[in-house]
Amino acid sequence: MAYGVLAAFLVFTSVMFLIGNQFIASNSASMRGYFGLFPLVFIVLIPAMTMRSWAEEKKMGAMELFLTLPLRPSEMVIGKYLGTLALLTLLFILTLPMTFMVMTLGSFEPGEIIGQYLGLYLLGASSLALGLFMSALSSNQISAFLLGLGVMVFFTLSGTLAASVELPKILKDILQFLSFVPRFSSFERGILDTRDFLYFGIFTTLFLYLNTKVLIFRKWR
Amino acid sequence: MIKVSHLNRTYGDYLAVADVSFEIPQGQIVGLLGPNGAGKTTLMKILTGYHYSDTGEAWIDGLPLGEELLEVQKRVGYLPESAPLYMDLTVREYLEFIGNLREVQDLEGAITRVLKLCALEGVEYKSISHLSKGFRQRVGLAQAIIHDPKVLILDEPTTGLDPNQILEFRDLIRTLGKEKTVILSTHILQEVEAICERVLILNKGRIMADGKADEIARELKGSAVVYTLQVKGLKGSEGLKSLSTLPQIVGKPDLLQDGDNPVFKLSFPSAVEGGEKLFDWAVAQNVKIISLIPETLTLEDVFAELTKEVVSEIRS
Repeated sequence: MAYGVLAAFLVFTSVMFLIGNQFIASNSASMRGYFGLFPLVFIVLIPAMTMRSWAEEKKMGAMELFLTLPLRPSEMVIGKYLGTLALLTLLFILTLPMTFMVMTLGSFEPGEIIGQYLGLYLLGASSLALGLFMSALSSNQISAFLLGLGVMVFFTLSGTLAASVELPKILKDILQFLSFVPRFSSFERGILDTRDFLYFGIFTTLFLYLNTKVLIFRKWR
Repeated sequence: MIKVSHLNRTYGDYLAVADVSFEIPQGQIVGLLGPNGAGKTTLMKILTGYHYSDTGEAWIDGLPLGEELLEVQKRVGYLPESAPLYMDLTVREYLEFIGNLREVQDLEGAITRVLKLCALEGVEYKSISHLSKGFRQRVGLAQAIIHDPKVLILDEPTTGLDPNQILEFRDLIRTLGKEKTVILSTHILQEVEAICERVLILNKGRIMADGKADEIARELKGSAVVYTLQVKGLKGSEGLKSLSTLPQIVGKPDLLQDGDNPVFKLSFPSAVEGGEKLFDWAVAQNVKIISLIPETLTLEDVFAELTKEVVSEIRS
């Protein structure tokens, strides 16, 4: 299942990049078109990767066993997180052939590409924490997926939305601040800002922490 | 080994466990018996740390459940009502997974041991999805004992098994109970009589009775022996009259069925007196005994008795 999702992702992004984006015709030595697709694809991909994690355990009754094992909720959450993170890492490794292939076609800026990878990885890793939390809140994988999709749309597109709709300044700033995409864009341009690292770091920690709270809360119900 | 003191748990307005206290020494097999919704599963969930109790305390192996939860959980093996298994793993992979989570030292040895104990050697490399219900339940049990726990908690372990599998499973539990403290829940009365040294009868979250199955039965019915007697050769009304004059009879005899072969119900203080007196009576009256059945109060009756009391309590 997971591997099917990965394969579909790779095929989709490659085709979109090479054909949809007219990479060859554009004749520019940049992979922005390729990496720029990722945040949008993540909206669907990340919930698909995380939807099963808690929701399915709950549905199968495995939570009953897990919570009776000598494990702290934090250990369980980190375990689940590292599991999905491994999958994400695999996905990034699988994009490397594409990157190398394209890089042989012209004189690319390696720094830019490294920045893009780093930004995407942080974006993906934060989204996974968010997706896991949504799965912990849901009782089945469909609702986990839809919930994840909803919040991913919000965090990905809120910045774009803020820029295009008439809103009070303060609201716009908040939406801009919360959004993934402006953070990712600075990485994409090769700018490494501590605030962006901090944003993704706090984002991930927050949702993993909330996840442990959900697990503990179940014991009271 | 297990001590529970004034445990309470409510789900909203519903009182699932109400002021439950008991102690279980090491190496005892205890059956939690009760109708559905009596609080058996809740009690087990509290003891395994899956649920918190609202008030009250519990200790396992001397460790308080609240503060030392992780240490307690290391000492407890748990088989939930529907054994949660990963269908796409093989038996061995599943046991390795649980064993690793439980940080079992010699995992290879432990797996070999539980495979043998639960008679799973033949299916070790089979996918769990291909196993029958009986095998799956054994995998569930194997998972619960992989870390060699001191306490084993089994929630309705034989539900859904066929009669042969039930017998095998009971044997297995009996074997495990020789060294481990076992709590198992069931609503099957014969199961408790078959494997439990002690029974706790729960109803509406309360403990209604605690002790050996036959002792509880004796206590409830008192020492009197109840007979059902069918005779030939006299009318029901005549029989009632002469039977009620018998020495040592307890209470009044009942006529259950009239006709040519009337059936009576009557009690005597003990079996010896009752049998003797009734034979003498039959000879003196010149009637023939068709059948004479002493009634033993089974756990089934005890159970009905106890749960009936609660119903009448609630009504009054």
